[in-house]
Amino acid sequence: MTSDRDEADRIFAEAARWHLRLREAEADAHDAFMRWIAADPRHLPAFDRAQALWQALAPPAALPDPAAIAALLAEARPRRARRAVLPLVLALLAGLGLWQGPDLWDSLRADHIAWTGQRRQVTLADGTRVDLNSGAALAVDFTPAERRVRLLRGEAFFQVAHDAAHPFVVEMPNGALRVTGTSFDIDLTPEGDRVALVEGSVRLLPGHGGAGVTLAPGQQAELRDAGISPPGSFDADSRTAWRQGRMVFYRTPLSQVVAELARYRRGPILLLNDRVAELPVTGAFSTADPDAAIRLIAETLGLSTHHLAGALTVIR
Amino acid sequence: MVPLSLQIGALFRSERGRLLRRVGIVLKSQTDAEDLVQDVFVNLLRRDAPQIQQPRNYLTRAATNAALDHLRRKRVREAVVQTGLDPAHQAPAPQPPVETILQSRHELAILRAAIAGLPPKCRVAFLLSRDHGLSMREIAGQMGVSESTVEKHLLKAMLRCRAALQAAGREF
Repeated sequence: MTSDRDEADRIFAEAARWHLRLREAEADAHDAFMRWIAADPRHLPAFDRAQALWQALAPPAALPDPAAIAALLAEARPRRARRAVLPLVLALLAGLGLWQGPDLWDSLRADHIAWTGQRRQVTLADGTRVDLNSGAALAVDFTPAERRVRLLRGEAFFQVAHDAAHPFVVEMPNGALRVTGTSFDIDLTPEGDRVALVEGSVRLLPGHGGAGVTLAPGQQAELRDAGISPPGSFDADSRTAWRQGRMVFYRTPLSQVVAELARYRRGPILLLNDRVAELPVTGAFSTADPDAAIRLIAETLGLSTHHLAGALTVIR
Repeated sequence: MVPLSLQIGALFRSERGRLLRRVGIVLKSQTDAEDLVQDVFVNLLRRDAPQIQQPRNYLTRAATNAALDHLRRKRVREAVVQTGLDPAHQAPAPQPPVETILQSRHELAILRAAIAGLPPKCRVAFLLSRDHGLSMREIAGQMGVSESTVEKHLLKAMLRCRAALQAAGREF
């Protein structure tokens, strides 16, 4: 009935107004709000719906951005300037042909390689199982004294067979780690060699000597040129989701998400708009279809994507 | 800086009565209200001290949320008594798994169109709130209008978006 509908709309509008008031940091209207809730049993469900609507409307809240705020405020004024469009930049980038294939030298030195888009599981001679993520390269140098491998590129998850007499050593660009039997993930990133320990214990050794760091389960640290970062915690589910062919992000800055997606596709992804680099992204995506993930994320955040020169993708 | 436990002692003395009266408005039972307010203070004690900037605001919010939760649970129980159904079938839907947090493209397209179609000042106020987390007071200051005007803009934006989603079959 129309009047029921009108009544429901009226209550929803009240509920939405309460939602807006209570969002304020120093809301002092809580007493009045309680009285409103108590006045009618329909009020609480309407308030819940208003909050659900706001959730549906709101992308994960970004940090205030002064430049974007200024631009928005300028739009609210009657006379507004037209924005200039920048197709020229895109054309330039496309012309550069920036993409280089996986490093050929690493591939020649490696014993085990997962090509882009591939995920591989290998079992080493000692029974250690290694999952190689897309683009990873691993070299194996076992000796009678120790089990030594080198992660040359990318990300790998190690389940090291226990053998106290023969330590298992992983060399990385910025150092090494030593274990006897344990499970851990190593991701070689531009910032450093990120080691995340799932179970057991590992000893991190910086490349140029100096004091090592021991990780406890649930801790991760980065080996960098300058030394080892202080250990911090990590989320094991999202960190190792790639082993099931998934990427999981929880409020991860878009720039990091893009770097992660790039691992699974042949062409590079450029984020043209610095303003959106920090936008948090939440969601789970299949590593098998990174392009679909890019489209969905861009659409969710209200950004546009452009595919240029076959492989290059630009988000702005 | 005063340790939080001491602050909480002082807060308990100064705020307890106020919170009791407030949650009493919806809880009806004095015992329930006392339990609930006590829980709110205990939870505050359990939290890491440096994380809470404004304990009084935190208490205000926590008490309101606890009262609403109490009310929701009570409604569920009443519904169960009336229908005789297992509470599991009546409980509010759990948080969606991470896979479903991203909304359907269709819905987002509808929302984007609805937001794009808002009057300029209304749209700007809404985006300042939604995308930049500005408070209504801050938006009012930035746009040179009153807070109640900002509230009207935001409310209008919410109702327009709701209407657009309803037209597409999604109820709020």
